[in-house]
Amino acid sequence: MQINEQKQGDVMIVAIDDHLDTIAAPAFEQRLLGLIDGGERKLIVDCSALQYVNSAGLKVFLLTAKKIETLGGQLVICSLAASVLMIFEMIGFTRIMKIAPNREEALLALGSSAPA
Amino acid sequence: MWVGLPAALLFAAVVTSASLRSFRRFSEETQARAQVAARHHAAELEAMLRQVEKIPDMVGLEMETGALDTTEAVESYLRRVVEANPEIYGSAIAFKPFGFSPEIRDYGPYWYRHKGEAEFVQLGTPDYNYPQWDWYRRPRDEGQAIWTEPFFDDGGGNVVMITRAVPFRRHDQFWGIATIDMPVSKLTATVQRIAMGQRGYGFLVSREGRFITHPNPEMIMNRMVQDVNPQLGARMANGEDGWMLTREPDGGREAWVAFSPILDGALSLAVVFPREEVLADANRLLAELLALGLVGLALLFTAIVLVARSVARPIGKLATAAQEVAGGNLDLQIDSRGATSEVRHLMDAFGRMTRDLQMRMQELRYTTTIKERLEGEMSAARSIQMSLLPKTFPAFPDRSEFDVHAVVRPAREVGGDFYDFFLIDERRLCVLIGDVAGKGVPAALFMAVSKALIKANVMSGVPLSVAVGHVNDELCEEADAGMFVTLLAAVLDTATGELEYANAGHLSPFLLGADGSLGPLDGGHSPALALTKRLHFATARHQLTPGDSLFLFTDGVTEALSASREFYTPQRLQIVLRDVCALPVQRITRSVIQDVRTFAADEAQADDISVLALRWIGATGLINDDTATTPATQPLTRSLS
Repeated sequence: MQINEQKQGDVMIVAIDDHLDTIAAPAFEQRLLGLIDGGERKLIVDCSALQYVNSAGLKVFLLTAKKIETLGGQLVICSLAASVLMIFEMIGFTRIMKIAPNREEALLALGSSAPA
Repeated sequence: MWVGLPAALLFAAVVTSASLRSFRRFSEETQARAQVAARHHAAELEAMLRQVEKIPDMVGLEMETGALDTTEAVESYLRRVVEANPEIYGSAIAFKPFGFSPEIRDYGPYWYRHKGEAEFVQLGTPDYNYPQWDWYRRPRDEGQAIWTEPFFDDGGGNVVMITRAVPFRRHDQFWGIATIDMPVSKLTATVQRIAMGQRGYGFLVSREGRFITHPNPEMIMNRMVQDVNPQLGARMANGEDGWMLTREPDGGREAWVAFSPILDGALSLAVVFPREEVLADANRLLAELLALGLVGLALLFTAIVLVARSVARPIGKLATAAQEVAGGNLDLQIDSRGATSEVRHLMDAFGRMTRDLQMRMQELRYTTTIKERLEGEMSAARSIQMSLLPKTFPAFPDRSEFDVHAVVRPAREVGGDFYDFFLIDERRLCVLIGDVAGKGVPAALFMAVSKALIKANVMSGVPLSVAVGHVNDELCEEADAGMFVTLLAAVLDTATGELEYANAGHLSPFLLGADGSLGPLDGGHSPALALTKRLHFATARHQLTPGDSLFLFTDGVTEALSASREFYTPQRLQIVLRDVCALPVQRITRSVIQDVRTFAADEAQADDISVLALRWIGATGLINDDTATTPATQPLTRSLS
């Protein structure tokens, strides 16, 4: 699975691949937890490429959100495709996690603005 | 051990060669020694006899001068000769008949030693009658000086002697004989001085072959050498100087006999070395050599055995150890003490190899154990998980108002699917299906906890929404690894057909109407369980008509993958359900499972697949299950075409 990292100010933006299933989830989980352990407290996961996520993938989002929140940070998930957003809604993630329509909104939610 | 054999063979060869050479050398040496001794002693005897030989010459010459013309003068002269020459026994002058004086027919004055004093005898007596003796007759007849054969001078010297007899003349005519005597005893003493070591001895024979001296006294004067050994006798009688390997004159033993003539063959001296006595030396030498060699061999073998042991015993130990190690005993310790350094290196290397092997084995055993334990735990977890799910059908044989059937097809790895159905009381039936996110033992445990919590809370009699809320709160306590559960729980009033349900993040079930309608049963949506506490869980209600069925499933169905990486999709599920909706519940569930299996073919099943079908038949039992006849597979094929 391809995971791209991009640091913008104090925000770390992670863009993920199109598939987040049982096979891809462990690497994704390790990467996100590694960033938190490395001190990142403002995290955006850009899901614009994400087409499919199963429960193992959803678990990673939940775990990451819980962990960063206990440390006083925040996770924002942005640019969800309609089908993925539907799953997020069904599971109830939209109620407990910060979901943004795009990166700019996500940056705003984290209290930092997009570069001009 | 066989290393010693060449050494032994070599030793045997050396001993054989040495003994052969030693015998040959002994033969040659003995022959040479005998020859040298014979010549030496012959020369010694000859020198002695040559010395005394001159005496009768001198006496004869004195007579021929005629100066001694009286018997007194002759006799005193002769006495002086004897007294002046201690090496001779006696000396005589024998005139021819009437040669000295016309008055005396036989005049033979003779002086000899007797007990240290000179004794006089007149030999011209009828008793002695010298003209008949060889010592007189032979030089007279032959006209020259001779050495006589040994003889016993009976009436003269009265000893065994040899005599030198020299003729002298007057007026160119034979006049008389002058003699000196050598007692054989004197020669014997000389020959006996031939101390031929302890092995040899000498003997002396006359020209005729008579034994003059011999260690055996019986031989002296009695035997002739040619009688006892003709070959030797012939050669000695010829006055030859030489040697031969022959038999001893007085015995049968083989001996080297060297001989040398004395006084131009008048005598012959022989030196004898008996072979066996000579070889006794050689044999002794050989015995010494053998003993030495055997001691050497014994030492060699001891050394070989010691070396072989110090090499072979550790190698033997090593071989035994290798066998044991090959047999699986890696704990074996090898003691390399007492081995030679090469063998010790080998043993140490072997020991290291065994230890390494043991370490690898332990590592392997450890990882295998861990893996086996994990796999064991997995399968234990899975079987525990599966045993938690009710599988006895018909589940409620005494209830005709409803029918329920469920099938779970677990993935190889433990998943988190679960379902349940139970009567809350006489009227109300609860059915539920859920899915714990993730896999493995944590998911299985979480599933077990979830299922137990749900049943306990629903059975407590509180409203469904409250029960689900309680379950959520309790699961939030447990969930710390991002674990969450989706759940669809429905409570059916079996008397009225009223259905109340809650959907916590789960896929909407399908409603299979008795009239053939088919669609998802939406509503009652809430977030999944264990996400966050104190959530309010909504419920929805739906009135069933008799014959309506509810189909509950997990995402293992709709997200099953085909070989071409296509999802099974809710659409395909709907098509299958449409075909089987009128069949008995167990046919509905099994048909779906069968279709999923056909779809996925050989593709590995990634997730648990669970389905549950509930049909409300109605309070009066309108439909008989066994009347349904439509086959399950045929409509599917038709639908897909």
